Amino acid sequence: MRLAAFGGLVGLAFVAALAVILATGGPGLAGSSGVRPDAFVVTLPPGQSACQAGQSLPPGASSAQLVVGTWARPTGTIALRATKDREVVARGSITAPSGIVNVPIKPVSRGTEGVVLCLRNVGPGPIALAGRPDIGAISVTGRKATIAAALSVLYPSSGDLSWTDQAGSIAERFSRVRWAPFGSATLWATLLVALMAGAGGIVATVLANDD
Amino acid sequence: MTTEVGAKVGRFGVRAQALACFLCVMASAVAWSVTTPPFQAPDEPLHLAYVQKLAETGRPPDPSDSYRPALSSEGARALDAVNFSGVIGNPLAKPPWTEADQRRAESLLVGPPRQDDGGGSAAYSNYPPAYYLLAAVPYLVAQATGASLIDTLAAVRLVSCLLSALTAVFVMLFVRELLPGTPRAWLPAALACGLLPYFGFIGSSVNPDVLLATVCAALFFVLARSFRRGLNARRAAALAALLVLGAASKPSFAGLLPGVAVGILLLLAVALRRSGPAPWRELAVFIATGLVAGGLYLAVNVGLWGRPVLPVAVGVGSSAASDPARRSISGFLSYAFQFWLPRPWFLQDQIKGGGYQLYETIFKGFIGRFGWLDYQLPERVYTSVIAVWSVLLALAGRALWVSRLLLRRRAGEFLVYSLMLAGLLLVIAVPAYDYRLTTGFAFEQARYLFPVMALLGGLYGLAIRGAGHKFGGYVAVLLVAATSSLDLLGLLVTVARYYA
Repeated sequence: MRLAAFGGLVGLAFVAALAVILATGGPGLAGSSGVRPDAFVVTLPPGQSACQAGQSLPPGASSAQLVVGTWARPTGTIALRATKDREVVARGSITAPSGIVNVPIKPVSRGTEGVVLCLRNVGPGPIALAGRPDIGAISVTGRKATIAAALSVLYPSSGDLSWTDQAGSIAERFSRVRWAPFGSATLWATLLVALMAGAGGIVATVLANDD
Repeated sequence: MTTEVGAKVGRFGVRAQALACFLCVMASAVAWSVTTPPFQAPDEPLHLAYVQKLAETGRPPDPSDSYRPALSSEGARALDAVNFSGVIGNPLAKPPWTEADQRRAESLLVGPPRQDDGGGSAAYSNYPPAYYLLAAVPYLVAQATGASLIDTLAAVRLVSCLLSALTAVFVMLFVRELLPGTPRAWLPAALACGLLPYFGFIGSSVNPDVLLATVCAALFFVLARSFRRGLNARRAAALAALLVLGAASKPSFAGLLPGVAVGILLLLAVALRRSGPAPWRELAVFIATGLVAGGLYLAVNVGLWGRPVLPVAVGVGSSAASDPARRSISGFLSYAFQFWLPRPWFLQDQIKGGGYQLYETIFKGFIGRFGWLDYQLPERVYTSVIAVWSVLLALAGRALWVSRLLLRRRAGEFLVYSLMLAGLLLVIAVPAYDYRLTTGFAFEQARYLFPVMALLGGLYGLAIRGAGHKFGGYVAVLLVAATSSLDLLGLLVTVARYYA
């Protein structure tokens, strides 16, 4: 009987820990270019732009996160412009030191595919942009040939998001291009099954010991 | 360490415990099989390609056919549809997320691409066929219902889930034979193995390691049962059948053979020393079963398919690839030593910059490193587990100390288990040394130790026994709860890696 009570308490702690995890906030991610910042792939002198076509602007994005090098200068200034069929769908700019830079944009309510993403150096010194060499194509103003590389861009969502905040989006994404018999409810069904495995294990252990 | 055979425990008999163990581990594995995105488990595309080739053509891949691609046209398209090459190794890249991604994937999957044009030489094409034959059954069933290759993969993964649940049951039965006087330890020890997140992750993917784990857990069980109750004809037949099935599962099974051979000789010696009939009947059954099962396997694998009698792992830093001048016995011993133990100052550093491998590769891997080894649990989780395992090791040590007189009587049995473990480590270390010399990277992965999962179950069982009658139940409940929490955390980390 004591062990059963102990098992119940442990089970409750198990669920409470899960609730804490689900309520814990962190920066959410609306999407990304899917490219790791392996190296600086483009260097832009002042006034020049680097553009990459075929990009996605995901719904929920509130900034574009880049990895930027400002060379010897303390800060650099970068302007972002995303267009679809020459219509501007997002823009923003920021002055920041070297490292991870978040260019704020107006929160995107509807995602857009086939976007041309342009990053312009509007500061006084050169800047470098990180991405992955050897894949994709980046066109730079003033150059005839494109650079064989892809830019690394993350699109964080606005504010810190807990698991519960993101639940709908995550469940929706979880059901894409895979076996998902319950559509976007597949994720919840899966986690429920895992929870039952753990809870069942605890109950069975209590029963096996309850002499 | 003895008690009544088949002792009932609490409200649960052994069968009920085995069923509970099977259902819990099966549920966890199914959750993992659904959560892990298609092909985001080690080597899964190539293993599925093997299954597809076998199911579509009735023949396994041809390791000598270097002209034919390893993947079929359909397999290659499926990988493209899920952005496979972009996602592996890149935590920033995600599988198809948006409606546009979905449309693109569907456009790639439309049409009837060829399913039988793969199966050329690849890293696993000369692996023995047992796991793939099993996996071909759900493959054919799913294909008969018109499922896409991605949906078919989900069906094939279910075979692995079933095998993983069976592995846990065999671990439970092994612990029962190992610690018959501690019934309270049997089920929780097995659950603590079966609910480990890494076991759920690998154990639900398309991978022959899963069948190897099941066969080896069964082998440990039958050996332990034979040591405790004697070798009868049924156990002799089971041992022979398991040896053939293990050989037909994965080449690394060979590492367990010296230990098993010593075990069988010991069992025969014990039977000869006892009063009663000599064990010639059991020996005859063992040999006859081995000949029939082995003959059947060889007839199909060698006779029908023309494959080599002894498969050798390829593509893992083969001897031909590395510089023979750099390989040496002393270098190998030095490498093996510093992989498992801290490197003393006088040994040349052969694992440059890799950290302490027992911790980085084996321990962290065994607790949870997922995908193509490109994400893991938060670092503090591993340090917490070390603390818990330290307590468990101390409790297990206490149990061994208290039972030291009984242990002497079972020294032969424990020698066999030790030889099986040592043999497996050796079989892993040989290609690992070559691979390290050739590429500079680690070959070892924690899943290669799944064949000795039963021993981990035994260790857990000893810890519960070491906690004594008063606290053993509490330790058992905490052990299962902690492992379940890790399992759930692993699933959440996986969801976050790919979908958040």
